[in-house]
Amino acid sequence: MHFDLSSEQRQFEDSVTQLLADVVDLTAMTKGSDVIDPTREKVDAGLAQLGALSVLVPEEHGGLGMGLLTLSVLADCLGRTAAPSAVIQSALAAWISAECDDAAIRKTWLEPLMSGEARAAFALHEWGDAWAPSQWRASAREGVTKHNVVDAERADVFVVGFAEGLCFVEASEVRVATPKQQALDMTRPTADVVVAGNVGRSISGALANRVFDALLVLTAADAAAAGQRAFEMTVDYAKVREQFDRPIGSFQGLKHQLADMVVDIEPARFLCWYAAHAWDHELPDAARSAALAKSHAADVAVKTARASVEAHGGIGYTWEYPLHLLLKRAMHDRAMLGSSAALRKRVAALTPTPPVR
Amino acid sequence: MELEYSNEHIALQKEVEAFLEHAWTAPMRDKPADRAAFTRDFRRAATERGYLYRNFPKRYGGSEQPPDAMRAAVIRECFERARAPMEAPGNGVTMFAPTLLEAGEEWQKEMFIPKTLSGEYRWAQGYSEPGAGSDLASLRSRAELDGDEWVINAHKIWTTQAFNCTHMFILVRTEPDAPKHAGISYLLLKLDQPGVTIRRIHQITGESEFCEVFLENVRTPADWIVGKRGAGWQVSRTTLKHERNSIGGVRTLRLYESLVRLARATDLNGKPAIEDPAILDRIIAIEGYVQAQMCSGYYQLTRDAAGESVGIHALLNKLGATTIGKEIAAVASDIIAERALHMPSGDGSGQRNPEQWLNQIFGSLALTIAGGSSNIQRNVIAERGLGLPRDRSE
Repeated sequence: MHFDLSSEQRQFEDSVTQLLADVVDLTAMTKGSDVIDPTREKVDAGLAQLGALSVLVPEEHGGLGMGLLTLSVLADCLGRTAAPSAVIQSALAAWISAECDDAAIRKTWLEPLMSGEARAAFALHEWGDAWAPSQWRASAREGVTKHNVVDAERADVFVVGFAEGLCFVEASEVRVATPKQQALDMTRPTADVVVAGNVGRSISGALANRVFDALLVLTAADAAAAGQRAFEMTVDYAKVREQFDRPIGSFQGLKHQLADMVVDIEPARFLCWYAAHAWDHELPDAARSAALAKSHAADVAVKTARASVEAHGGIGYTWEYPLHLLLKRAMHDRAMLGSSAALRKRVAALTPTPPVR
Repeated sequence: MELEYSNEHIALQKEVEAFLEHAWTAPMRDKPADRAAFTRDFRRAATERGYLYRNFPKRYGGSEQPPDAMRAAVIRECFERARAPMEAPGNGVTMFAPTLLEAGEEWQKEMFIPKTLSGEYRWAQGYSEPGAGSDLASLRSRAELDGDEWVINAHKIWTTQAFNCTHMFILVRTEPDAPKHAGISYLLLKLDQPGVTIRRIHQITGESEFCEVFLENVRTPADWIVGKRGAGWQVSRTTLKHERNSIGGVRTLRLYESLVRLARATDLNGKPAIEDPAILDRIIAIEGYVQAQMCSGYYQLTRDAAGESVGIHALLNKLGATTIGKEIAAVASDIIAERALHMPSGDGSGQRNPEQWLNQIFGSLALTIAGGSSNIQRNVIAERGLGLPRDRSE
């Protein structure tokens, strides 16, 4: 039994951490797209060089075959730094193109996605709080308008969810609507996309649930890490900010809040690891664990990030102080792919009742 | 990441299971006449096989196994599954014997440890006082040397099952002029002697397992002291490099599972409670915390087994479990609904009937106080775990 990252995964984590430390400036990103857009280019290029886009792709298709747990380590690093990047979406799309039963998709998209030459975006959200495959109503024949597609403007290919299953649609066949409102999370702008009927290439239905579960796990890891970073910033701040002639971190009132926060947020990452592991090994509880991890991690991440702002006091409520990027990261993750309440329903429905030995 | 046990551990699992079937499960089916004697013999046999008292040297009645967190966890799992008893319960085995092993004289170890491990000596913990709870070092119970004996005058409280104990390890002030922490000694005494009064405390559950212990001019030999005079505080803080032999979070998981069973078995307005969407939502929300803690436990076990630091995680276990226990109590209360209006019948702490959930509902509250209150846990996490500055003068 070994419940920990492997040394290979730790090495990958170290390289990614180093890269992000060099190119992502959290405070500078509060200035908006003038900083965020060039940062995204650097992050994506650097991650492509590190092989991040081929992490999930099996070795027989030229990938690294390191599994979702490794990709969730990347999600963790991105969440921690609130990094703008489309790499997670592209890496998962690369896996789909390798795994799917359509040789044409593989031929067209696998190489460009793995090299970083092409970027992918997932278009899943159709109506209400409905994101899951069973809730995709529109058929590929009719076309669809999908909402809240992250990084739609930069995508070369869209992975669209239809009633029949997933469909790869080239960007030229998709109209990306100009967003009417500013995105909650500036680092991950979203847009509506209009997909015409009978375009792109469909994949048989079976993969859709696996893909959705993978997205849940990756989003959970991203959220947990954003919450963790917000927490760490708060501990650091509590050690240096002085009131009444001493560091505020020496006051029991704040100490106890911080202790409660760490009890919530620290174990969340391990739940994400488990969910990734369950996905990798297609364990019977993989789908259930993915939904549980996403609802739990996103909830505690938002709770922790909110408490972080509260603990900072006024400075934490200012635009210039970067804490809000992490709060909004967690909020974005919570709203994506289904609210926590909806996902808990999914957990409950996935097995007759919670498992009991 | 690998969640299966290695071949070595699977072999161990089979070996332990075979032993338990033969030495515990099968004989228990025949209901042994003298259950206590049977249990004692079973423990001895299990110790000989290296399953129990793994940290204790053979010469003191232990099985002297090399530290191996993973083997210990496999053994514990097998015992729990077979519902077989592990080490003798109580403070003697968990606190006193390890402390003596670290800080005691050779003759003390020989005299006390074997009989403690066998369950013959049962130890009461004499730490808390009415005026010294979280601030334990402010204790005022005292002892003076009179010839070759200590004369002890003490008022101790929250002593678990003192009426069922043979001995006490006690912190008393022996150096009244020394600074707070430096004036305390760690003494041992027999409870069956004149001057010892035990008063059972009536708890909010209606039960009385905690006690007050009054010692009036109680005598104990001068050399029944662990460590030097005035070194009692350090002795009591002795923390051994213990192998972690249980996965943190398992007990919480079991509690969660019984909540689910309760929700299935209990009708709420004519339907099983688990079919109520509001109840189900809260149950699944709790499961997120429970599974996260289980995973953290697996991580800690892995790090321990590899001889690596577990970092802040070990400090979080108790407060995490307490927080979940509170949530479980809240949901259980809504499930048992009007049945919460009657006190539990007091026949054991099981949770078979809705009414008996009051034991968990109160027990989860006891957990916020006992063994380092939640607020003390928060101080420890903040100061030792997060490196925040202390704000108390000590």
